[in-house]
Amino acid sequence: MPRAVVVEQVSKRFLLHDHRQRTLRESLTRLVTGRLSRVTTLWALRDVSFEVEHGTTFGIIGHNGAGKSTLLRLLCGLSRPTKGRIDTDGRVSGILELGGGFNPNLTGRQNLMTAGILNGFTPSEVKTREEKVIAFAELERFIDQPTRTYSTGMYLRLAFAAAMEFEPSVLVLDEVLAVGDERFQKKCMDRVTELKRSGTTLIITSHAPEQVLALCDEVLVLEEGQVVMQSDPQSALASYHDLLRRRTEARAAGLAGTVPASPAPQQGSRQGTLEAVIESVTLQDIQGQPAEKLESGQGLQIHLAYRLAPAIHDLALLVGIYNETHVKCFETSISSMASTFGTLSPNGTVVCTLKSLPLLPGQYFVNVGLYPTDWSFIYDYHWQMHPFHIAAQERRYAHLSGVIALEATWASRKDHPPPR
Amino acid sequence: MNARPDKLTHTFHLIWHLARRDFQLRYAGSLLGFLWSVAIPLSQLLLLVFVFGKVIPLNIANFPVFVFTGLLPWNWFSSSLLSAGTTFTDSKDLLRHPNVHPAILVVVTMLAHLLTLIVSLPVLFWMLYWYDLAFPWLFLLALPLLLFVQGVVMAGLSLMIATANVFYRDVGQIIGILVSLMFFITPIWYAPQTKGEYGFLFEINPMSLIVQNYRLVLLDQRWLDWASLLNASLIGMGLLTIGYLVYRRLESDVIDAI
Repeated sequence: MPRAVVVEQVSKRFLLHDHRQRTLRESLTRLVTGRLSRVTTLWALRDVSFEVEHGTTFGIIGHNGAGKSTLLRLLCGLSRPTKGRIDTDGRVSGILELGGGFNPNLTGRQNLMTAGILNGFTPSEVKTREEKVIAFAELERFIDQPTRTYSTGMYLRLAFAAAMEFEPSVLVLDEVLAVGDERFQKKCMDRVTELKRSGTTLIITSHAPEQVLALCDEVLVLEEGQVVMQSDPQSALASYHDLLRRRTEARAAGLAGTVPASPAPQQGSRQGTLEAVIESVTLQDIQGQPAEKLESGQGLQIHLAYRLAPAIHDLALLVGIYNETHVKCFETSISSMASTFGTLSPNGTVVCTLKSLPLLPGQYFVNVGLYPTDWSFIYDYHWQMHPFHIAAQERRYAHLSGVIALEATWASRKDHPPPR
Repeated sequence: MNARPDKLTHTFHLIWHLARRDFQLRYAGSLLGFLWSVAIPLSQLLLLVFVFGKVIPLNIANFPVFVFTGLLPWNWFSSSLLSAGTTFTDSKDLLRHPNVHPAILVVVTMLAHLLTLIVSLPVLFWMLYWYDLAFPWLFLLALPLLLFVQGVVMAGLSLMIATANVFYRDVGQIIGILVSLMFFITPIWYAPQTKGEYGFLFEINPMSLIVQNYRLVLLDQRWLDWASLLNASLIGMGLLTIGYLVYRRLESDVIDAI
């Protein structure tokens, strides 16, 4: 069977002009003064090769600036490789910038017609599919209004519905599964799964490891425009995290001497460049008492004291609860502290309150981390350093296993339940 | 998988749909809608007839029809070229789509403006009737050929303009000046003197050759002048070749640059 997509030693170079838009006059003066060469080159992709089988879901992961978006644009034919070749078998359709093909002055219906014809359908075929798209997007009432009057959410729903309905044989999705409200996201995920089952080849990028694990058959890891590895999702994610660690180490080495060293932890491990430091993590119960031991269902307050280097004005924060065997029980994050809490002071404390921890008895750890807002490396991460116990009470938990404490009650009857 | 139309049919559907869309968008929100596309050449006609028929009389027979036969192809030419500059830069939405070959947008712009010419034809026929001129059956035969030759000339120029304007926004401005200069070396409101010192201008200006052929079939009831039409086609083919080469050379950068 031929491959759906074959990418052979593709490189892409961008020329970065000092002005984005040059006028003829500027070019002429430069020609005269001999300053024509004020262009820097950027290799966004270098020697990238991979193949995607028909009917599989292929993930591309990598940090910001790794070349993901450039690669997807090339796959969609939005841009040409500087070197190398891309062969695709069948129609590639992408939603790189959602609704990119919509004209704001035309109505939703007129834009749908354009989108359908662009995707290779005849006008009559588009007409027959139109109602389905409109129903999926839930825009029955607004479809004959110009799209400039739409809210962002409406616009995205229409774009997504259109892309899904005009069934491409290869569908390229760039971080778009995070569109709309939760219910619509679920609907989109279902539709993606359905397309996947019907044999559509999917190429996706995602920041969410869970999504990659759940959807992808194979994953490509990109770093600085080059392929690090192509493998199953598990190993690819491991390699991705390894890259994060290595990038952090490289940055820490570059900073050596400028940030104070901190003592090795008594237990667990710690990594990061220490440009932002977690000074201490204090665990308290809801009453504010120290909480090394909690009862199942009790609340927990995590006080996180941090110190920032002068150059740092914003950061992302991650708080998670893991059990002894490294199973993640819960994790939450703030992607920008400055936009959540306002300007940060160089020293401060964040308090995260978890109203109730319905965990089974045992030892748990609060793992906390500070990151730059693009999550590209680690400032400071505390892994299994801050333990707490959920105490075993009486006999209640004698025959339970797992992670969370649910209350089970039992009943028994002598007959089968009557059929409904 | 359902049967897809083949590539050629699809391209045809796409171009036709986009041309109609372009035409619709131009008059979206205006009360008179597409009637404007007739109103504009009529107002130009009134002005030219007033100046060169009454103020400085040129004494050309059936002067209003004479001017109108020149205005129709000229307006197609000038309006297409004036919008050629923004063909790529204003179509970000379409060019983001993987199935759109930028070059077809040039054709789309030309077609959208051609619709203006088509809707003005009834006005032309009515004027012929008004001045007791015979109904131009020959013209109906010759029109597709005339449009095609002019289309080739315009496609070459439009490709160059559209591509160049992506990199140098000045191009659009320059074209504005060039087109208004060209208006005067195209015999729209006068009959050209091909023998004089500047006669060659009318020989190398493809629009002049085309306009004169329009008059042959419309007013003189004669068949086309094949020599001049061939001339215009050769110039058009030359322009198209250059335009295509320029476009091919820069095509990949066009998409990155807009």
